[in-house]
Amino acid sequence: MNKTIYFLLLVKRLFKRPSFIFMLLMVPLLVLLLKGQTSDDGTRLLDIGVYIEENADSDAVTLMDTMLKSGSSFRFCRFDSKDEMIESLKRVEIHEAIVIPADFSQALNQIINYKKITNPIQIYIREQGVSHKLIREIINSSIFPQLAMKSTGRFMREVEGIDIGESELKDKFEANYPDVQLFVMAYADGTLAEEEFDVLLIPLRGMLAVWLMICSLAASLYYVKDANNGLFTWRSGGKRIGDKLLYYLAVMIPTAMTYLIAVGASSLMVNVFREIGMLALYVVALIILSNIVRLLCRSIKNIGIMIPLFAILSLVFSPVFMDVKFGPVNLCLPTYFYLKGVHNNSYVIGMVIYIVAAFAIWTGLELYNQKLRGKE
Amino acid sequence: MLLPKIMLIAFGFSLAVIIACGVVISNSSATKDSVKFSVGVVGTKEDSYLGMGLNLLKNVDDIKNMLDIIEFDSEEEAKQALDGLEISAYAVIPPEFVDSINYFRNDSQIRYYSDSGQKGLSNVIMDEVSTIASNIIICAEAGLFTLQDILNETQIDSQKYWEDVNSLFMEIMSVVIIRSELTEIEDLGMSLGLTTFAYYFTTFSLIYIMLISFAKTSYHIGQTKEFERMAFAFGINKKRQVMSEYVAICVGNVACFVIFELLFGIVFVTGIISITEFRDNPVGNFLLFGLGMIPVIMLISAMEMFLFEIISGLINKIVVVFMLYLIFTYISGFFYPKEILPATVRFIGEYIPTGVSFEYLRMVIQKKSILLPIIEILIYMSIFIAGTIWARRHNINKGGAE
Repeated sequence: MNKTIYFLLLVKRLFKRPSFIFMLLMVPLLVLLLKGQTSDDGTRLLDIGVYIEENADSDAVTLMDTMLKSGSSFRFCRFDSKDEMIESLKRVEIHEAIVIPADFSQALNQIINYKKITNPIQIYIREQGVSHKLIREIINSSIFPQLAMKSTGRFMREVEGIDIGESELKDKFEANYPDVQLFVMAYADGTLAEEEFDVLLIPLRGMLAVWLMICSLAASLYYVKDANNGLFTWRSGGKRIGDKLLYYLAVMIPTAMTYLIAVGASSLMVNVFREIGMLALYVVALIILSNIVRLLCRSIKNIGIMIPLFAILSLVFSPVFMDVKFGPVNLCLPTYFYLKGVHNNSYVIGMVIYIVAAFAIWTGLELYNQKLRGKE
Repeated sequence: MLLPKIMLIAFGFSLAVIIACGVVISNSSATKDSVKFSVGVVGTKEDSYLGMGLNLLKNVDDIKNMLDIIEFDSEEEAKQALDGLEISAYAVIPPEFVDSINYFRNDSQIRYYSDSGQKGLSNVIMDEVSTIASNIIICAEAGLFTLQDILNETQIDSQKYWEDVNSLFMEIMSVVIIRSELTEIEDLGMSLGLTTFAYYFTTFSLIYIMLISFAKTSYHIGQTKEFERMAFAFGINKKRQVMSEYVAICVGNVACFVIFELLFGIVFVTGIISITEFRDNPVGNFLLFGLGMIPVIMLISAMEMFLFEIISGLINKIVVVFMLYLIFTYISGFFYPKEILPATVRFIGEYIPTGVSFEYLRMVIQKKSILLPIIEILIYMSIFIAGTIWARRHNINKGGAE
């Protein structure tokens, strides 16, 4: 039986099960469902409540408007009652709560004259952490234009002796306010980072990559079961590495194609050719890793035990949900190289080195295994 | 279920999960005094507005608590530092940018390069920080432009003109540096949410119980239809089969969790990880949490049994169950705080088994009434066990081999 027929028979066996087809369809459908859940607020990270005291002056109203219109990843939501806002904070419906004092102009005048602030903006938080420092900076950023304008006005009046009215100052300041973004993020390969993104879909590529790893480990289980049932007896005793590759590809090709469709559906795809190339390298790395695991573990029970271990290591030490740097573990995971290599060619080279090293280990283990079997 | 090998693996896996939990907590921004993004900068000029501004940001401003600015002589050096993970990103300031700022043209941008493979939460935060820095510069420029407009209308000599512009620049920077005095923080303390340590401890405990089911793969795969039919033929009906298997799975999972709890207890008692909610009575609260996990273990065991029963095929059992667990844990807020998820997803996440389990454990930790969550857990358990019995009946009655 030639290799093509062998491969097709393996694939046919998988597709005979409705649950396998269901699983292949489920992945892109779930992605579309998740994508459908993100709205115009797709970029929103956390909700921040804002309350402005009654009879607020113009500076307080300006600050409120600036916050509500800000394009920040933290969305500001207005509350009509302070108590309601605090209760919402306690119920974890909002992350932080801000109270803008009615006499905010006084606070601005005090700061530009280096006097103590008598009635500052109150920020209510639930627990200490660093996100409140960032949010505090974002709030301060909303105040910058007013601060800069008032400083300029004070400088003109008191230092230059120029008597400029508030209205004229505001008009000139707004006319001179450049609407530009001075800093922009780019990836290591020079591509500009996405401006718009769906918060819900951020970890999707990583989650699916880990899922592919589990698929390849499951293929090892299947292989051992088939080997125990004598499936490979008629095919050179299952010695040829090429046959093993074909066996794993029968599982990995349909799942990898599903992965590609899911990534495409989620709009995370960078470039079709790069995606296919990276995915091909990743699949090869996974197949080699799974074979090493199979040869070291030998039994279904032991391979099954490795599955949760690889799952937790990949979820934590690959940049799926966060970027955790722990050198020795990172470098053992093909998922790490794959996810890092999306925009960084250094990691693509790293993946190739990983494949070469892992292949050498696999080949060594296969030869050792065959020698042992020969002795038996 | 209690074979020495499985218990040994439970020990090893518990260590792995605890280490992973510790690493995640230590990397979590909420546990640190400040997020420290180390950003390399290439191409600064000290005598420019940008150089002065960066110097202030680096040494004086509060933003230094979030941003560590390291200057490099060349892009190659910065790139090496990025590849060596010494910095999170590096920015190259093109020469035309400095002139663009000095002469208020703003027709150039600074690109900062990250080593991330794709945009993640840390990049989003860096974007916010870069927007703040950009805003400082732009607001200062607007003030300087405004002064320029006014001075151009007067008969001022060139030297005094630039002296005045520089003075205003320093004035604005001085005010910007003390801007934190405009806000005051009030910490409400604990409310409905858990502290960060308690949050991750709970989620990792749940993840542990869910993933340990894969360590029993050989058991689930070994459950063949022929064996079930044979047991039925010997008078062990489907209900008795399912219930005895369920008890075995529960006992196995409890035993595995005891190992996890013991190891975590050691870490907890030594003070490596400290959970605020347990402070008043550390050992007692920790044991209470362990006891509180039992209904959750029973629920997850029922779900495990149900899923492995209805899904046929070795590969399908592993990959489909893993995919479902991954989705459940994600939308229940195990990896990212629930608050960032859209309202619909958050709603679904709260009512699926993982969300119900998390909510129940939160009540246990905060010593609140657990009646409603327990009822939800019991409902789910009943559904899963009834579903397993129904699926077993179908498997027994269906003819032919698997």
